[in-house]
Amino acid sequence: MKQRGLTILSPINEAQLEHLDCLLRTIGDDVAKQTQIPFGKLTQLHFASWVIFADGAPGPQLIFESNFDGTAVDFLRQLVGPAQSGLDQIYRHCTDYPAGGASNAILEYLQAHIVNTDTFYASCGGVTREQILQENQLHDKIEGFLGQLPAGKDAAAVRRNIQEFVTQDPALAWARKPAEPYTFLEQARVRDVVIIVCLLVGLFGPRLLGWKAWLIWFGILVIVFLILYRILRRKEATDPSISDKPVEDAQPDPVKTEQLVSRENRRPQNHLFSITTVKPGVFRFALLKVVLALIEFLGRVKFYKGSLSGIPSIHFARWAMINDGKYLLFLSNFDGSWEHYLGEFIDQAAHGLTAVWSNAVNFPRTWNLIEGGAADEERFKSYARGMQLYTQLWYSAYPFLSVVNVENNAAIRAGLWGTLDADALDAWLRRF
Amino acid sequence: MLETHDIQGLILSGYAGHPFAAYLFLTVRAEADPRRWLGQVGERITGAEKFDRQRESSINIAFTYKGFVRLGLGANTMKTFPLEFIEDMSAPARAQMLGDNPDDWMWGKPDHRIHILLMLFARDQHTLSDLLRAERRAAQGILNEELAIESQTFPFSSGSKLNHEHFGFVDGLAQPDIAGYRPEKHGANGPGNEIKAGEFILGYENEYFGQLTASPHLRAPDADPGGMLQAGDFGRNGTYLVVRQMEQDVAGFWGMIRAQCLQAKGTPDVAAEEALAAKIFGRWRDGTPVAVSPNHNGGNPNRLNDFGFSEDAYGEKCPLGAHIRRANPREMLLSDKKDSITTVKRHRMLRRGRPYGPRIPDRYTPDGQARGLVFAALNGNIERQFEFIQQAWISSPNFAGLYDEADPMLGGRTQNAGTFSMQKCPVRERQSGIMPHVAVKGGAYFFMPGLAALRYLSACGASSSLAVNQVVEGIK
Repeated sequence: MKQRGLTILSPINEAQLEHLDCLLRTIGDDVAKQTQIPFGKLTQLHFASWVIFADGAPGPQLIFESNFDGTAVDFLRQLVGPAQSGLDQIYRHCTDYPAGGASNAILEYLQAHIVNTDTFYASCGGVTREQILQENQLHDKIEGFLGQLPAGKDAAAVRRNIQEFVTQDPALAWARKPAEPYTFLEQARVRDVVIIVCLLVGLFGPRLLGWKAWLIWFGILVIVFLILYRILRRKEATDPSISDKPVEDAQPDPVKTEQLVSRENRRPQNHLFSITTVKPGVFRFALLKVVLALIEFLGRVKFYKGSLSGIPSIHFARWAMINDGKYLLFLSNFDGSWEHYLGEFIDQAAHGLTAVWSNAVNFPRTWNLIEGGAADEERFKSYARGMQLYTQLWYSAYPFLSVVNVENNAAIRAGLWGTLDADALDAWLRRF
Repeated sequence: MLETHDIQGLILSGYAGHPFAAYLFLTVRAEADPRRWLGQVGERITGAEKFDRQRESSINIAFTYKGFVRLGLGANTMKTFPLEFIEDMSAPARAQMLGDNPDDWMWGKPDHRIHILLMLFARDQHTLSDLLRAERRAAQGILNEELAIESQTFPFSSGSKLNHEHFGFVDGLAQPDIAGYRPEKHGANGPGNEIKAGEFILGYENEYFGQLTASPHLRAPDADPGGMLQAGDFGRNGTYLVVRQMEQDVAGFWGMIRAQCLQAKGTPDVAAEEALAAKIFGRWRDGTPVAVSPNHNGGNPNRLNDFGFSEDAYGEKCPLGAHIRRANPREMLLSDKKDSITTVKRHRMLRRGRPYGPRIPDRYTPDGQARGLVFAALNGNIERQFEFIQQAWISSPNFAGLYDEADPMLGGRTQNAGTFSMQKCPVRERQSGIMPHVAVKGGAYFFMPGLAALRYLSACGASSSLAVNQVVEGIK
């Protein structure tokens, strides 16, 4: 089943800002024990966060990030059901919220505040929350069984014994058949077709007017491209940048960083919430839209099997241009520490990230859109810390599983039945 | 070219010729003016220019952030140090990252910060005692000695150049080679062991496309009227020194190994114990990598660092979670070898640790003596090197695709401690109850300045007011 991500943006009643901040932090301090939002009952939900963007125009905003299975309406219905009183507690700090109203009114309120998510990324495409939890249970049970298994059996016998064990456990009845496939249709978006058709028409349409017209048309395209490229290079040379400062002076406010770090590394997973101001003007706005659309497309059709451009530790992430494109919101749910994550960015995906954030104010200096930027290690990390905001409330449905674990569990289930040749059998047994 | 005339000797040498050492953890007395002492001790600090094999002793020095504050380094200059150094190892957020519990520490806690670390090294005990006496006399009335740790290295066998730590393993084998520095001494030390100087010494190109690692700089109004520093670069030729006192329960460790092996056999089996301990550490006690010689019947004793894990991709020889695989994953961190080397090279350290406390007479019998390792690692960026290794590799429960396991020697943040998987064909063997027998007793982040910066430090207190810095300290 396809995963989706809603980004819901609600204006906060300015006078209530501190109250709300305190409430969210209290809930977030012990998200497993709190009772306001019964996350355990939200069976479609993988990760969620409520964070506050306090300093933006037109005023403070509450951002709700959700990463879930199935359709938005189903998810919101499920959310408003068991969590209504918690939602009331949170959203009564927001303007126009129908506190205490009927669940339909709340549903409408939430739907009315959904904003467009430009790039939504899910590392394990099509793998539902239920499936992740079930398959981890399968893994744990088989591990326990292997602990009891006498030594000296050959590979085929071990697998046979595992199969018998699984068959005998009624709680694992679901594992007797393979997981639902992630179909091509689920991956595709109507938008892809529209864009591809537009591109084809744009490139080859003038051919219908004859060879000459086509050549002239290509000439125009090349000239337009060169002009745009010149504009970009000029902007890259003159845009103000953190690179204008010595590395030592580019460090973000230590008090703020300390606050951020104090919220991190409580568990093997971490959350990152950041907002940057997009550089003014149509050029950067349009360029950023195009880059985000491209990454969205690649993430959806190419990098949905556990790794985004070689980074195997992002569960869900998103970019959204919010408040009329004035700001770029980034939210990520990842394995390991911040330093590890940023290191992977630079080592594996510097070009893609540079293409995105070079359109934001103050980013380290870039060349040709993708060069420089994130490769400027210390300034990029300073920049990333500087744009990061405090995560008040963050939830993960499987806080102890890494993306690699999730993928491994899915592969264990996939290889449980059917015939495997000797190499595949060895490889499957190595998954334990 | 390294400016060896300005670099402290310990950065470029482990002082193999000095088996005896003492670490003095010092604070500056409230009313004292330490500048004269600092100026004089600065004259005695051993530089890296010439390694004289005949030299009897060496002295090196390092300072914490609080130490620099107390010594009067200017407030604006202090702001150019990175946050982790300013906060120090025991700050709550850093302890959370490192998996530490500073409440149990003996020194280095937030309310018990060290200012200065003076490290003395000597070729024999007698020389060390004389040196200690002289340095203590020099510091009298100016510095308080908060803690002194004496150390003696243990040759693995008589005449051996290799030393072992208290559990009995040869230690300190996987040292990076500094690119361009004494290349004739570089071994064929496995893939990607030659690392740019900027990873370990400030002022040089690092592994990020030859960029310069951030270095503390003079900032106005702090001045350098005597022109002692090159372009106001206070950090040049200096580096960060991470020190952790790690107490080792040797009888606890070997008792655990024996108990694990007894379960299988019924009677003590020393060979099985050695094999299990080797799987945990990733090397046999004599240093032979398990990845090279899984049955301890091969391996070249002269090439103990010349290996990789690609021949053992699945961990069937050296387990994926073994200590040396976590501490330095070599070319097998990621699926692509080249990418792995690129990444791993950005997270290495020079290690200068030494054991403290007496050797245990019988490794199975507790003798009530405190012993352990003074872990000392040099790196240009603590957050990216020491903290990263500790967090992302050593203590990570998901390292190398594992589930809820941490370093079997050092422990980490797991839900259920003690699980250790040994990959095998057809299917892995898993131990439970492999508990860490190493406990951190104290630790701090120090900076080891270059010799010019040291001279500046002893002179600069005069030009910047102590009072201003004490205000800053009050805010912190």
